[in-house]
Amino acid sequence: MTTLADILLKGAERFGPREAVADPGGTVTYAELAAGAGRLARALRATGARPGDRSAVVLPNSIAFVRAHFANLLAGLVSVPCDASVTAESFAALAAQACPRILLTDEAGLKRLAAAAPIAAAIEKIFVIDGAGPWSDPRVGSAAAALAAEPDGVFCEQRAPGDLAALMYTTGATGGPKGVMLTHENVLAALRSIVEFVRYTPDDREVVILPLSHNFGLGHVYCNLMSGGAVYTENGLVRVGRVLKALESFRATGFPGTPMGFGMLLDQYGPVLASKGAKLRFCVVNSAPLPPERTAQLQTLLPRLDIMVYYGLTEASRSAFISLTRSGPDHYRAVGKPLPHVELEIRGSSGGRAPAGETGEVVVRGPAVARGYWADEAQTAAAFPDGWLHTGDLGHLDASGCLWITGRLKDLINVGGYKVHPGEVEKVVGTFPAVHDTGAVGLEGLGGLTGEAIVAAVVLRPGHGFDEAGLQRFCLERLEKFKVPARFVAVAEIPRSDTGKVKRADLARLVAVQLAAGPAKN
Amino acid sequence: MSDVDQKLKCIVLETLKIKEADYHEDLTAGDLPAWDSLGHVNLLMAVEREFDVAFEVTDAIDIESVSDLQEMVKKYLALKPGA
Repeated sequence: MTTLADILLKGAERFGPREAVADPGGTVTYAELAAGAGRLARALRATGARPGDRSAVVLPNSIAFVRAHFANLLAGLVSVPCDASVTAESFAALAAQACPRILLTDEAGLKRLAAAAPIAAAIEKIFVIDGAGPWSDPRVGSAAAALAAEPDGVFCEQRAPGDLAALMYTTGATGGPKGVMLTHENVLAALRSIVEFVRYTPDDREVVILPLSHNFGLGHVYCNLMSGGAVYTENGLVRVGRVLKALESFRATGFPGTPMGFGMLLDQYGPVLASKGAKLRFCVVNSAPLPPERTAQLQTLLPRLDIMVYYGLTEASRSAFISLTRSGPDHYRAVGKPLPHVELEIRGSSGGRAPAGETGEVVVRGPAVARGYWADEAQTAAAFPDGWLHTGDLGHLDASGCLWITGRLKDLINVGGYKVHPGEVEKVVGTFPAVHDTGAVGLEGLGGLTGEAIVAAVVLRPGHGFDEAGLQRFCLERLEKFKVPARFVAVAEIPRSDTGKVKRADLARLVAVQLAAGPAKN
Repeated sequence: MSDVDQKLKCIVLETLKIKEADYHEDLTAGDLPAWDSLGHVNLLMAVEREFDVAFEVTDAIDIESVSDLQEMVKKYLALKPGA
């Protein structure tokens, strides 16, 4: 297996009639998935797109997403999976950088992305997965119509392991889009380690509600398809009852999630999770530290569950892995030992390799580490200055070589695994008519939530009252939901440095005090 | 619209911070950005507070839409002593 397309092709050969992917609308076998993706790949190439061209996918978690992503890979295109809720503005910024020639989306995505202005001119063809038109934009066409014109049979453009497979978009150091360049070899190196560590078998069946536009969720789809397992997917915990019922009806053995998601399930739906998830063999938790008390709570609820945690970034997927169940409570705050293909070091303040026990920046290199960022030499040079990925995370290795993450060098806020730069939030909040100045921070444990939530402090213009509901509505109309502050507080002043930069630590203390004091008054 | 339905409407508008024009009985979790997993939990808690009921978790997982909420609230109110 040398490319990601091989996952599907070899899966169809070995496991053809077995169930591969399911969603609330249906299910497909390996053979059906490969045939559908193959036909779509032909349709993509019939547009004139050439190997190495980019093709964006804006679809919710679904069979259609998996088929579209693999169609890109089979066609030899570089797949650019985007968050299903991406706003027109964010997509325009991404498209200006990645220059995709093709966009695969659905009616809802098309409506949202084309609401204010035509979709990026670089895109030559837009396939709508679930619609028949007519559409005013001549670039838009029905995927079903294109597929009808293509013959059955496998199609695969041969690519080399070192060729780019995907651009995975994340938030950059200044809040702009950052396309992480992953080769087939990068992803496969990580997948082989995960399959081995998690001990995937053809009997595994996972409920994956993590966004498939991110490495975490997509990685679990890959792992199951490599192993002959099956995946049920839908969008997050929005329809939480349906997800919990799927654990039982899909006979799930695996359920990856975030600390925030597990926190909510434990607090609100614990008994149902215990009964519906009785067949769960393992869960993998990532995106933020799983608090030890949550691990203990989950382990008590599901005693046979193997709770695993890994450390990884989009740029270096699954660098370290640990089974908290096998390692025991002493290691509940650890993120594990580096996987066999990973070199991981701690760099001390002098820039040299720090000894065991000393805290410094985590740096990583190896075959799973990305090449850099698409069309962004400055950010690539900053993150990969010496052949190592400088993660921006602080931590230490203990005497046994186990990694413990203790902090972060960068300003990014981690909302349930989504990295949000406060500048993105401030840019929008600052345009609210009553706001004179604003600063955003991430706060842990807000309102009983597990993990960080965004809080925006606002300085009001004279004569204006504080309208938290109005601010939230305003942001909901202009930002992806995960970027919308959970709370707003009115303050007299945003603490800033001499150069005007928001002093985030001071601001975090200020808003924490304000929130503890109770609701703001007009 | 019954009193219960009217009260529910107010709670949905207030909790999810949505406009009245976006409200209808078929509105379902996930239809609007504000009705995400956290919005759903907040909505159920607000409804429980307002009507002084506590949904069994096995019932709560069946609530996905405004009409489900209406039905469930009426079922719980009917079970209250003196109803």
